[in-house]
Amino acid sequence: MIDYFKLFFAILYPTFIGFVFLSVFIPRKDVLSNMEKLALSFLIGSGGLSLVIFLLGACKIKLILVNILIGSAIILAPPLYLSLKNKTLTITASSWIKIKKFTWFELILLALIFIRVSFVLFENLSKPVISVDAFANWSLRAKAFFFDSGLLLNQKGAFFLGGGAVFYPLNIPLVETWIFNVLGYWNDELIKIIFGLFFLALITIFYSAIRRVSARPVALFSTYLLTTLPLLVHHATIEYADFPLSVYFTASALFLLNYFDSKNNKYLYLSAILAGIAAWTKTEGVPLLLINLVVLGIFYIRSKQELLAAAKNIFYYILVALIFKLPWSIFNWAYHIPKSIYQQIEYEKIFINLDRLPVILSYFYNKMFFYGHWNIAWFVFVVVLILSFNRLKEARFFYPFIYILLFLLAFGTMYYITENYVWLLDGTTLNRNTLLIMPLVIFFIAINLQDLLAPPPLSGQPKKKRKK
Amino acid sequence: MERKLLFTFLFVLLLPFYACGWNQINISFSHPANTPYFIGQPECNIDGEEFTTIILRIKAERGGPARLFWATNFDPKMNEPKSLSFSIDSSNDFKEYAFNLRRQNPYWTGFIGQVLIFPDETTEGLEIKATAIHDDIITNLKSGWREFFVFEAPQLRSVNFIYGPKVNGVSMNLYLYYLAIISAAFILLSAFIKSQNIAVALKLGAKKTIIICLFLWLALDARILLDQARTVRLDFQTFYGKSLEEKRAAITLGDYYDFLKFADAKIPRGSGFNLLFLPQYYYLEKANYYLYPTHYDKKGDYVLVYNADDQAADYIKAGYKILAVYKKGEYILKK
Repeated sequence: MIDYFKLFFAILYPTFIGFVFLSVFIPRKDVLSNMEKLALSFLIGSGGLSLVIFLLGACKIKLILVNILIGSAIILAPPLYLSLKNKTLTITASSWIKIKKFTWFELILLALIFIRVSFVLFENLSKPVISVDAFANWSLRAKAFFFDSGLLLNQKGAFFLGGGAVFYPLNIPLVETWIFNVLGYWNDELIKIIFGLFFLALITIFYSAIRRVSARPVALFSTYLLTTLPLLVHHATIEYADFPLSVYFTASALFLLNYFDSKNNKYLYLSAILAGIAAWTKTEGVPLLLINLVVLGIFYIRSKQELLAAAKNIFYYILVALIFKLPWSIFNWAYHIPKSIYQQIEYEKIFINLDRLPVILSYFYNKMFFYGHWNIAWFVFVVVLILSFNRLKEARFFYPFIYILLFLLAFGTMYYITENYVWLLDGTTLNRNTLLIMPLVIFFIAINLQDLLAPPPLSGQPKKKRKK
Repeated sequence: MERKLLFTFLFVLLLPFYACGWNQINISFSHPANTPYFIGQPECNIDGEEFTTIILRIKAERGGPARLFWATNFDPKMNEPKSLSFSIDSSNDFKEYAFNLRRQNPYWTGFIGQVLIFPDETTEGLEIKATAIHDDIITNLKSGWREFFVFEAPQLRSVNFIYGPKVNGVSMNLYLYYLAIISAAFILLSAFIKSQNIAVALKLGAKKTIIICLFLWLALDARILLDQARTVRLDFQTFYGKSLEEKRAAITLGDYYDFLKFADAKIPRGSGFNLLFLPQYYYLEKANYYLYPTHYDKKGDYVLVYNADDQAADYIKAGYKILAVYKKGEYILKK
């Protein structure tokens, strides 16, 4: 029982850190729902805490509980002071109580979502670490950091940086190390709670994003659709970094879209933080950060933003994201950590690799449409795209679509000009890459649903007020 | 003329007999002593292109998952690619299970020399008969129905691949796409006939089309939910009431985890070990993961031998001594 209390603290502490930072960024009440604030707090807090642990480890400070608490408290102090001074560290109880009565349809959807969340939590907490890349890399490193109370910085040692693939960023292993430290022993079953929490965070942020533009039944239904993707749900029950990366990227993209809508710079920085943590979670986070930047650039071009203001915002976006990525990059440079051969771009092969093109297209097509990974989401995406084609120029439909297009282009290009192509052929990575964009595919379907299911009246008929 | 008529009459008369089973091969199964499987008798030579379907008739006191293997003239060994998972239901009478193997597995090809059935749980209380036949619409329907409900349990490869439900070897998604496209075409056509205006027809048809797509999505999800419920049941049976150590043992092949725990107690903590094993599983990765800070080192003072006596013989010749024996074939050598 005591373990569960410790586990509760292990989750609460990073969530509190995240909440304090979030309070500095989003000071106004009721802008985001409490649930969304909590979900974001967990995401930001866990990423921030792992960065603090990394910095402590890089400075060769022992990674024991007291040191981690002191280190994080030092980082936490200024924003805590600011938020206490400005009285922004609040959760409004009224929004928990003021919930409009649910209809039967909504209750059924809630029950279905609850079943999926229960499934994910049960699968995580009923068994220890089970997946190959977890016991060979991610969780092995977490265990090594815990047992050695450090990052194992001896480059000649067999377990330099915890062993496994040393070029993998350390966000997830260090969050696990934190939990081992709080528990006081190595328990590779209880640490899996974080993957369940990532799932909860994803559906909360996703629901809230849809809710901002659609009615509650549509938001609930779309959230349920998100939980019907078999590979996404499976990844939420195992210990790989692909799913947390997908959560961070989705959240960063949704807040960037929110920024486009509201023009509120706070969402821009929030998106930058989440994109930065994504790059600190897995190497693929870097191209995802670039996609965010391209979308941001397209937004400024389309909205004819003043060049200087746009450049300033893009610069700040990169700067904020780099807070999370730069320490790891400097560390890689200082310790001469070689890049994976699969990350090396072979520009000279742009024309030689032309024969790869039809293979890449056929793999994308087959894996997206004719396997059990995504239910029939890609087919419905195409149907929705066809049916909503005329609306595509509207900003709220355009940018999610651009995201999906850029993502497919970016990852298609990656297979074209890097040796990642072998992982495409043997089926190792494509579906895991696609996992990163799936929440945005469902988001695109979701935001179109309201208009498709309740279409605007045909000409000659009286116009009804659209529900906000 | 009469003779021609007579032959024609006889030919037509023979057709139903042909359809009723003249063109089938019966296979009986025996259970060799101390083995966990049933093997087809006698050894046969079925043409896989012609006899595409196997009908199993199984009487079982207890149900459970099972696997059907076969050997071909191209690949005479029983192995995973040439196999098919299915579930045996508990029944007092012989229950029929139809499998169109030609459609469900590309390796049902050439001449099939032997078939084998491997029940996951027990061979006790099981009786099996089988017939190889040409497929027809009825057996295809039966086979497709059964294939649709086959449990795709999470495996190590599920992290990269989930095949999803299939019917006669074809992804269920494809059937749903056909259904959606045909329905949408029908809806749009009828809307066009009513309104005589393409724009109006598209607008009216869009809503119905999207509803149909969403309905199909949810229908497929109901099938996926079934597998997730089965996963929960399976995990509950496997892990409920077990300690963390027992759970780790349960997710590791054979008794390997127990052997590692044994080695952990015998080797000084933090020392290096070499590991000899057959390359068929993640033995090395698991050893590093579970034994850390004791770790793999090819030149280490200790050698863990896990069912690899042949490789261990070289070390013994080189002067390594047996430090501790866990059981036959599983022991530790020391320099």
